[in-house]
Amino acid sequence: MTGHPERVRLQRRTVTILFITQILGGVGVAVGIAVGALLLEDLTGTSALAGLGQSSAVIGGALLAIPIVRVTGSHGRRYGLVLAYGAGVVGALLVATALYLRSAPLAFAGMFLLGGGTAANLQARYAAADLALPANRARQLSLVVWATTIGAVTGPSLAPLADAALREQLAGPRYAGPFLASAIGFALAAGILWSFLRPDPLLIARSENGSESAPKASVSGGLRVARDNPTARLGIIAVALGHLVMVAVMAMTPIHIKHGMHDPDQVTTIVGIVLSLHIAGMYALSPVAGILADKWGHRQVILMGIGLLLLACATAGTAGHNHTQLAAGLVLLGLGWSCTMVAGSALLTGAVDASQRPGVQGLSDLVMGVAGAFAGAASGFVVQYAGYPILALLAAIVVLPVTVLVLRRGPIHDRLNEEPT
Amino acid sequence: MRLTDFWENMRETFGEAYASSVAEDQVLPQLGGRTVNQALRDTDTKHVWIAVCHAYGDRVPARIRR
Repeated sequence: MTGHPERVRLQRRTVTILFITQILGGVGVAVGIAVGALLLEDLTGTSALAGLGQSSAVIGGALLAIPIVRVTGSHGRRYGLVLAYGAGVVGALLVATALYLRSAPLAFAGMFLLGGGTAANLQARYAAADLALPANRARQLSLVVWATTIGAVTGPSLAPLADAALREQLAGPRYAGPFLASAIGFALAAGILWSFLRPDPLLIARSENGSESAPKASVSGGLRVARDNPTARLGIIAVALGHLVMVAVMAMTPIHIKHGMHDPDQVTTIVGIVLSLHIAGMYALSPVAGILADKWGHRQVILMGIGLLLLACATAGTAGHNHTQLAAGLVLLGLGWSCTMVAGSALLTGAVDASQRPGVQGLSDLVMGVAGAFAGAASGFVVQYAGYPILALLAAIVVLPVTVLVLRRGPIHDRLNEEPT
Repeated sequence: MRLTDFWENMRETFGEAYASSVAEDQVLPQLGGRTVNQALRDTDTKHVWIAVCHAYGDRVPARIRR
């Protein structure tokens, strides 16, 4: 069964489809996010509420994991991903409508549902792992993470084009164009998945294990599994804390840069360069993290990720207004995130049976989203009252518990290992 | 197959650190969704080794593959 050519072919096809839809979905997410804060500032008239649009999308993405898990558990990946992208389409159209009607509440509701696109882009990596063999699971998963790079890099530059096109061709309101582009990206991703992601990788993986009937999957079920399974728990914690540290330091880096400069145009340029390098660090080398996790082990790569995150906090935290050092810190931050994300996700996937995966994976994305939302909100206060170096120090302290968990081994292994037969 | 031979094979395949992590962390469909460590409690070592060979395929050196 394992090396069956038919199964290998199906897995290759699955990863190819996910790779394509991940690019489309990634463009959809990045286009919307690029102008999200701007349009909310425009609608509400205050920058204080503009940041909440982003939080709304993050929380929406995290909470949407709950229904997505239900649907994935009962009907497979195809239904789950299409539901998530579908929510993204509705969200993007609501935001565009809100701009025509000049309605801020409608825009917030739209941003919340737009999080569905992010949720789908996150869950897609797990669909790539369903039929992957244990020997190359992390690499297959990392390929889908890597595909996000293309969307994340091209999306923001497509935003002004979409904006200009709608305003000039159809006399639409400012900022509505990018959201229509988001809606198109998500709709295309959903359409391709609906048409081609069959047979469903999760359903096939489950039938191989002899659990043909659909078990009821839920995030709370995932919580029960994680409670009894220390490996799955470690995977969830590694992903969430890596994300928390990354978001906390990244979110405040533009503010830190701005505090040391006077020319606003120069600030925008430097922020753009530093964040682009950071995003490259996050995604571009993710296949390397995947290959190393398959070769050396997931725990080893999580440890490497923690090392990189600590180094990133030290580098960025002591950079002051040396922008080269700050950029180096942010690249390291991206690389560390990539290692904990890829290795942690592969670890938790391998730690549970196919029938239990959707619940645990959904829980992981929910916890990760909440950790990111918390980090985004808390980092502002830390920088306000204690400064950027203290933020970096606190972020470094946060990753330490993961190290303890990675190094801790179950007693059973040692016993079995030593026992002479 | 003796347990010591089993672990020797595991180390040869995965290296010292990863061998113990594979045994502790990964559930294998061939072991009914259990980990190697869990299966070793009540399953013949040879059966467990064959499951590892099936799951990891080419990663297992041909000399010790079953």
